[in-house]
Amino acid sequence: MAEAAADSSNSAVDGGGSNVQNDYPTIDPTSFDVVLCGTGLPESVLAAACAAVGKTVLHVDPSPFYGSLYSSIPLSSLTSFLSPEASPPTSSAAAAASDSRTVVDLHRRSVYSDVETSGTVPEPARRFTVDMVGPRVLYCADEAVDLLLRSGGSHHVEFKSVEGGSLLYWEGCLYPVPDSRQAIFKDTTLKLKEKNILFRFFKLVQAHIAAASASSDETGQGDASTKIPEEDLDLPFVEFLKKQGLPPKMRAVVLYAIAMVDYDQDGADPCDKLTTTREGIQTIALYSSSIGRFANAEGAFIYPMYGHAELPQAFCRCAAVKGALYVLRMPVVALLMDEEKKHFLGARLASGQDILCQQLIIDASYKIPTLDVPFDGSDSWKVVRGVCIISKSVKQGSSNVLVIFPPKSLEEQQVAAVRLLQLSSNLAVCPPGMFISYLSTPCTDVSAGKQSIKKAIDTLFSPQASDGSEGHFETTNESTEDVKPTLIWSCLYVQEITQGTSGSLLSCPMPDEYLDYRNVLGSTKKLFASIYPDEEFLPKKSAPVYADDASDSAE
Amino acid sequence: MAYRADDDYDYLFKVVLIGDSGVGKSNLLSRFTRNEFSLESKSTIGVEFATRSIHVDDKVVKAQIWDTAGQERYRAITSAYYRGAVGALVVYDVTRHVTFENVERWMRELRDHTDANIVIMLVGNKADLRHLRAVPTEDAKAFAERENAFFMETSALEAMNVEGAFTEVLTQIYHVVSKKALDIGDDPAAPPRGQTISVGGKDDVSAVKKSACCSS
Repeated sequence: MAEAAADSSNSAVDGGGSNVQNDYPTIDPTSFDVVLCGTGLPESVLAAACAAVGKTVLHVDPSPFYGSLYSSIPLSSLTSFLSPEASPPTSSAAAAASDSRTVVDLHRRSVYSDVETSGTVPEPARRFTVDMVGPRVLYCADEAVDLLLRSGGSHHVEFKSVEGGSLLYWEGCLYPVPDSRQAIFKDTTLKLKEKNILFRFFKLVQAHIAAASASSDETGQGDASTKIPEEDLDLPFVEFLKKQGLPPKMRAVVLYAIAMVDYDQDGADPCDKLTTTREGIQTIALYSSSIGRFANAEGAFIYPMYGHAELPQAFCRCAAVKGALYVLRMPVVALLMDEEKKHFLGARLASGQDILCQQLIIDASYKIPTLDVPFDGSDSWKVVRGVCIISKSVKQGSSNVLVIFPPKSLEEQQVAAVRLLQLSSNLAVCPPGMFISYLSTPCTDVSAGKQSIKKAIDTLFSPQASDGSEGHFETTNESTEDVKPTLIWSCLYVQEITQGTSGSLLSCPMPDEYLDYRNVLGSTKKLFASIYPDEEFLPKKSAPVYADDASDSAE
Repeated sequence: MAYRADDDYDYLFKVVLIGDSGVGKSNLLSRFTRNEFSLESKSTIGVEFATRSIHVDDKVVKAQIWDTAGQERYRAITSAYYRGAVGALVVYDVTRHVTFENVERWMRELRDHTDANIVIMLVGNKADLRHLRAVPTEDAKAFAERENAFFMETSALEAMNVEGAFTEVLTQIYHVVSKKALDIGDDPAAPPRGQTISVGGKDDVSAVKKSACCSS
C-alpha cells in the first residue's frame, strides 16, 4: 500500500459532538444482515460470499488500508504494525445502556510479540512491501484460485510464478527439488539409483491419483489394481515411503518439499503430528495438478503482485459490486446486546453510531468477550516469522525461490521444518537488485522456534559487515561456489495462531503456519456454513458480467 | 472498413472513474459505453467495469473503464482499483461545491497510486443544471491547469461532452503510450519486468496488448 503509515485506531473519541462529526462519517442505513470488522482474507471472502447470496453487508476496518492481519505493509510501518500503541477507544459513556440494550466493550489485542530487528533499513524504504502472512503462495490449482474466478476477484489481482522452484537444504547444501518426472529426468544432482526410485514413486502416485479420480467418476468401478491399498493410505506417510524404498534424502524431498509436512516424521513426537499417506498424496496431487495449469506460469506456485493484501482487496471489491458497504478508518468499539446479554443485536462504531445486525463477524485481533464463548489462550500455537532483505538471489538467475529446511537439518533440536520464500522486484515488493525473504516455522517453544529461524538465516546469508568474503555457500547444481547473499536487514517476530470460532459472534482464523491458504479457507467455508447453512458458498456464477461493447465510435 | 472480432484491438487501456459519491460517475460510464442514463441516484452496485472501443490514428483502442462499486462513499477505494490505470476521470458535481473541494484529495490519492504519466481529466458533471451551478467554470479550469490535467464540463443526462471527455482521455493516453514505446529508457516507475499471470485468462490490463515486449 502506498498509503500513509499503519495507524491502528488511535483516533480518540473525546465525546465532542463536532469532533465526532468531523472525524467519522455517519453510516446509512443503520441495519444490516451482516457486519464484518477487519478486512483480512477470511473476512473478505465471507463478505463476498454473503453479498453474493443477497445479504446486506457492512464491512469496516479500523485501518486506512485493507488486509488486517493479512496486510501488505510498507517496510517503514512494520514496527508500528507489530507493536501497536495500546490505546483502545472507550465507548461513549453517555450512550451506555440506552433503551433495552447492554453495551459490552470490544478490545483489540496484539497478536505479535518478541519483535527483534537488526541491520539498517535500506533506502528507499517506501519501495519495500512486507507481507504479514509469512512465506505464502497459491498453488496454481488451489481452491483460492477457483474462488477468485467464481467471485470475479481474478479481475483485480495478477500473479507471478515462483519460477525458481524449490530448493531443499540437506547436509549443508541446497539441492533443487525434483517435483515432477520431468524434473527428475533433468536433475543433475541425483544419482541414477535415486532417480529410478523417485521416478517409480511418482509413477505409482500418479497412477493412484488417476485411478482414484476415475473411480469417483464411475462410482466404484475404477481400476483397483493401480490404487494404493487402504491399509497403506492409513499408514504414516513416512512408513509408506520407507516401504517404497526411498532413502532418507528422498523421503525428505517428498515429505517436506512436496507434501509440505511441517513436523518431524522420524522423531519420537506424539503421533498426532504424523501425516498419513492419504494426506501426503492429497498435497502431492494438488502440487502435480498445479504444474502446467497456466500456460505462462512456471512451476506449481504463483504469488500475487504487490503482495498478499491484494487478495482480500479483490474479494472486498466483489462484495462491493454486489452492494456491500465499505468503510475504512472505522473501529468497532463495542457490542450491543440485549439486557440479559444473551443475544447480539449489533455493534457500536467508534463514531458512536449503533448498527444493528443479525450476524457480527470480527477478525482475530479482537478479544472475544467471555460470554458464551470462553477464550482459551492457554494452548495457543505460535509461528515464528522472519523477514530479511538480502542483496542477491539465493539461487543465481532466479527471481522467486522457495527453500525448505527439513526438521533437524539445521540442528538436532529443530523439531519443525523452516520455510523460506524469496521474492524479487518482479513482484513490485522491493527495488530492483534486492530481494525480500520470508521465513516461518511453527512452534510451541518460542525460543526454540526463533533459534531455528536464526540458524536458517545464518546458513543462507552472510552478515553485512563481512562483505561476503567470509563465507562461501556451496550450491551443488552449479560448478562454482557462490558467494552468500548479504543480509542487509532483518526482523523476527512471533505470531499466535487461533482458528476461527463460531457461535453468535464469529471470529475469523489468523494466518497460520502453512504455505498456502487451504486451512484458512476451509475454516472460512465452515464459518459461512454455520451462519447460512442453506446458502451456497460463492456460487459458480457469482462473478459480475461486465458490459463488453466493442462498438466503434463514428469519427 | 474491415470487420473486427469483439476481442480484436491494438491497445487496451484501463481508465478509472473517481470522485465523490453521487456526482454521476456511473451515468457518465453508462452513457459512454451503452448510451444509457438512469435517474436513480442510489450508490453504485453491480458495476465492475465496462468497455468500449474507439479508433485513434487507425488503431483500435479498447477502453476498460472502471467504476468504484460505491467504495468511495466512505473512503474505502482499494489500492488495487488504481493498479495499471493509464487514465482517470476525476468527477465533481458543478451544483455541489463540496464535491469540487474534495477533488484535491482525489487527485492526491490518484497520484499516490498511479504512474506519473497517467492522463487525468477533471470532469464537472451535471452542467445541464444551469440554475443550480455552484462551481464557476473558470475556477475549475484554473485548478485543472495547476494540476496539469485536462478539463471538461459534461452532462450525462443530456449526453453533453461525455463522448468528448472519454475520447480525449483515450487519445491522450494513446499519444503517451506511443511516445513511451519509442523511449526505451529506464523508467523507475515502469511496471516490473516479466509477464504476469492472470488466472482468469481474459483481458489483462497491460497497455500494449500486441507488443511482443515480454522479457523475464
